[in-house]
Amino acid sequence: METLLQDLRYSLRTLRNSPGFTAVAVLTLALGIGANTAIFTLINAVMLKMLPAQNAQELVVLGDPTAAHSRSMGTPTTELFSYPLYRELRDRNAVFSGVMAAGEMHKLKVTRPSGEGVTDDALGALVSGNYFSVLGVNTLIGRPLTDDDDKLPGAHPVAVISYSLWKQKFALSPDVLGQSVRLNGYPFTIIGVTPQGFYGQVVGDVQEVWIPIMMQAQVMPGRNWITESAAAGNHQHPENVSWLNVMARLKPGVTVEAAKANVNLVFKQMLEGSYGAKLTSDDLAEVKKNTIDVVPGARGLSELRGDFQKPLYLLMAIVGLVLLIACVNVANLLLARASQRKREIAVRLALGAKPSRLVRQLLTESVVLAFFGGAFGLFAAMWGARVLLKVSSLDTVKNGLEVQPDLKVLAFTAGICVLTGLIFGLVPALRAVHVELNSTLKSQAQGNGGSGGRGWNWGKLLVVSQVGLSLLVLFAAGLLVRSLRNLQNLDVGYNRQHLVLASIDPVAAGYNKEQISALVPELTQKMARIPGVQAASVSAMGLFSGIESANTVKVEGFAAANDRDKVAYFDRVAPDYFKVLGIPLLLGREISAQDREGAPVVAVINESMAKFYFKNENPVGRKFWIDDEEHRNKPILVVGVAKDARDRQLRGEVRRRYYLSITQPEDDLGSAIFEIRTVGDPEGVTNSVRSELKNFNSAIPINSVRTLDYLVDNSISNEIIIAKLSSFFGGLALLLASIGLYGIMSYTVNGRTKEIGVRMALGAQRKNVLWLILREAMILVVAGIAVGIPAAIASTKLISSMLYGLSGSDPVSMAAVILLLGSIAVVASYIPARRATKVDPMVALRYE
Amino acid sequence: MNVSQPLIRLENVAKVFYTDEVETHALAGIHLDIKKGEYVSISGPSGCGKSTLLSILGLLDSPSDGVYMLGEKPVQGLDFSDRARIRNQEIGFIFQSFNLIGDLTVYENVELPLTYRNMSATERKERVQNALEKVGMAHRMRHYPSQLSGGQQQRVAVARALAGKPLILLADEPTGNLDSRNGEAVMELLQQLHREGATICMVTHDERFARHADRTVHMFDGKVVEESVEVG
Ligand SMILES: Nc1ncnc2c1ncn2[C@@H]1O[C@H](COP(=O)(O)OP(=O)(O)O)[C@@H](O)[C@H]1O
Ligand SMILES: [Mg+2]
Repeated sequence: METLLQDLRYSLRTLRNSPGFTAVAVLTLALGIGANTAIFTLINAVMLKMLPAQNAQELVVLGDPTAAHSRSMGTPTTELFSYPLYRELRDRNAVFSGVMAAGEMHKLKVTRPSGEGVTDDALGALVSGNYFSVLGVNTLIGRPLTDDDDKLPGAHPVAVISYSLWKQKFALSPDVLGQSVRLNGYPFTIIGVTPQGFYGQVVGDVQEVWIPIMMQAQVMPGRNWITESAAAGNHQHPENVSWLNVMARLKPGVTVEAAKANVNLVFKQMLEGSYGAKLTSDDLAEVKKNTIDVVPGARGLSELRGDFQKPLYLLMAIVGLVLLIACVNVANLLLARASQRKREIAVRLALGAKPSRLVRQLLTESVVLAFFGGAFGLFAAMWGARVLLKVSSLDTVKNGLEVQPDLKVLAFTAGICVLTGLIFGLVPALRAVHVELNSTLKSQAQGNGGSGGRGWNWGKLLVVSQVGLSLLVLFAAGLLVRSLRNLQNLDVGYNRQHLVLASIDPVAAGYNKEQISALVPELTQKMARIPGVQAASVSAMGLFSGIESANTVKVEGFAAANDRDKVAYFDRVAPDYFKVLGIPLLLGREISAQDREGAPVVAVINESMAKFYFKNENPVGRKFWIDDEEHRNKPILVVGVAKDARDRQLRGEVRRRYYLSITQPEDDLGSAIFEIRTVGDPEGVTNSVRSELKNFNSAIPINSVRTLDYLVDNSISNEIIIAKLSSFFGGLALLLASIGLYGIMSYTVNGRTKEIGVRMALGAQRKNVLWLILREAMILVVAGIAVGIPAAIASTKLISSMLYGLSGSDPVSMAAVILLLGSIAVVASYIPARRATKVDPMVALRYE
Repeated sequence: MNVSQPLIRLENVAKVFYTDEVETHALAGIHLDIKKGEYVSISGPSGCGKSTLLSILGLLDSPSDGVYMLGEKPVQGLDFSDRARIRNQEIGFIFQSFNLIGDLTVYENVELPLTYRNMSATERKERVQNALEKVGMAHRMRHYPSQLSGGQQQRVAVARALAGKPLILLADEPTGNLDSRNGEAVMELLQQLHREGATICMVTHDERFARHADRTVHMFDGKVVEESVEVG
């Protein structure tokens, strides 16, 4: 212990005595450690963070813990749950002490009774009465929701708000309790405030208002997902709306496996019983194929976790490599310094210091250095993580991720520091001691022979490894960037430019089926008349809107081999839809004004659907049916075949799709999405679209008004983030490696001053000397590239699923990376090489 | 045109070093002619300017004043690359500390100055072999300098200077790092070369070796104080 303190004190003194060295080393390490801490902070926030719940390890998630932001209409799912399904599971299981449900509500409008707005954009959650008790979270003031708030639909207008909302909008006033607020227009009373740091059950989301699930219909006018109702515009049975995340607390002693078995047993019984009886026979058959997953829930639910797991781990690997590269730089600095400290070390050895003791002393110094780097890195990381979050979120997620350095992050950084210190300190320490032991025996060789000379030495091997590692990182970045480029330049089958999509929710404003049918064409015409707009159309699903619909279909003359063959996706579109978007019709005609209610039901199908169901025959004039009880007798006539369009996602196969006429609605429209073709920059038109919609009827909620470019970018936000970040870290790797190369070449030139002088005295021209040094640098780079190529190609297997339109050994990326590395290497070694040409040949005449 | 025009002519050459506001007059008013085939030695106490003079003769440095004619051509005003070419082709250097390059073999060391010319590989090979044979080191071609004794290293250095077939050999204390036996051997080698027609200018402060030369230039404090001709 005492020797450790002594070592520490001595280390600090040594570092203070060489401020230049210390500064460069600390800066380099700060970059490397900072990058790692930043990514780890994100991993911690997204992947590892626990819910601030009591005994969180007892919590489980039923269904899919990454499906926190979806809803599904139609056949019941077992990823998300309908209210009736939740209720049955809650009441019939034998393994949980409590089962809670929660469904998020975006863009919750909060107003004071006076009508003054509090916020337009709160994230709310409709939660079961036992939500807080199952999580084991109490309120800071007031009371939480309880089972008593979860009895009768529409009868419990009470709300719990978050600490941050309390602070921001109610000035932390205790009077908030009992205050009335309107949520989406409906009056509620605030009964409690959650403790600071509680943001709900979804990691990454910042929920601000919690209200009883029984109040769903009140805050979502026009929709009732709790009870069967004949309300206008409400066509869905509660069983067919899967919108709830379900979490439960295990009874003592029950394992996750046992819970899963029990849940599925109960589920089976339910399907045989009254729950199953409420489903259509088609739905029942479908649901019976599924089981309910039960997984540990201590870390809550997270959409992010599903989306970002792979990218984050990939980035972690990349920054790990960057850190290694940084370590190599510091190791080389230490090696260079070790030769300056030869005398000091020799004296210590002569005074009887054990080599092992000296190695420890030197390692202590490295670790101290690493901790300094780590301290700066931590600052950089906290800032960097926030920037990364901002760069990466692209509006899709609220920045509710806590990127504060918690204990885990600190421990990680400390661990990295120790490890880093040992990695970069070991070789120099061993070498320093080794060199000294031999030096007395070693004859003073002529010319060079020191570590700064020609030939291979540790420093150079380290630089080779550095180049190899950079190649690895750069190649991965190159592949990801080129994949992104491929995606972005992909032909989507229609004109991507100058398109705005505006999505509205007339149902929420109380419009019924007939009213919507009248509203939609009227609004379409209004959109088309906005200045700067060329044409407008409308459809149910829009483009890259994040929503999708599918049906099972029966096609004339086609025998389905399995259930998947029967699935076709669909949209409902207005006349001119294909013309406005620029989707070419290959056969037949497009949907037109004549295809209205009462006329024969028609569809345009896409190429993929035509090929799949009709092979080489002409589908125009053929029929298909939606395969359920209600539609089995209503044939749909194919009137046209449209070219495939990528309208949901850029990757993957284009789905089989049919387009019905929006004026021949089979079901009511959930939402209407206008496709607006602008003359020039679409961004400029979005505001006019908004105000036009508001002017028409401000009660109709506008879900979004976005350019297609935005939506497409959003759909590949992951790819964009990864491409950006991996390029950034690739750049960092390149920078560090070129500093490394610069360092070793400077050191080499210094060590070879005499030799260079002799060569010049013997008549070497400047270009000979320049080439002498550059060639040596090139040998290092070529060796590094030779090592890096196979490693890079082997490791890109890990990211093959993220690539698009190129192989993991893409020669273009490889060539670009090699070119880049080569030219950066030339630049980095040119400076020392230039300095070599300035050596005074007179040094040849001096002798030491 | 004078038939006995010297190979090297220094007229009123001076060299001043400026360091930290201190002027060092290392050379002043030097007149020196060296004729083709001559063997001149320069001697004098340490610090008198011998090496400075040699570095000017060898185009490693330029005089502050005066004229230096090499082979009838003035050398001042030449740019770096012309000077490098002259060092490479017309001058053969032999250093006190041999200055062989440790990572190159004996063969490669001798070949080194030839690689700075446009010379075919076969010609290079022939010249290297001839030079090494002349100094009696052909059998050590593949050795590295560190595997040779000091005397052997200096003989390789002499071979390196010879390989370029220079107009003149410049040697700065070539025996300074050698014991007397090896020193004698190197001096004998130089004398041998002289007999075969080489022009040599050698710096030494060893009077015994100075006597090997046709003519000895004595220097003191940057000036030539006396010239003595050996009668031999
Ligand atoms: N580069 C230099 N800068 C300053 N002074 C120098 C330099 N080179 C030589 N001198 C000085 O010039 C004088 C002559 O040096 P030098 O020619 O090396 O002497 P010698 O070879 O006869 O011992 C000495 O006083 C020396 O200190
Ligand atoms: Mg001297």
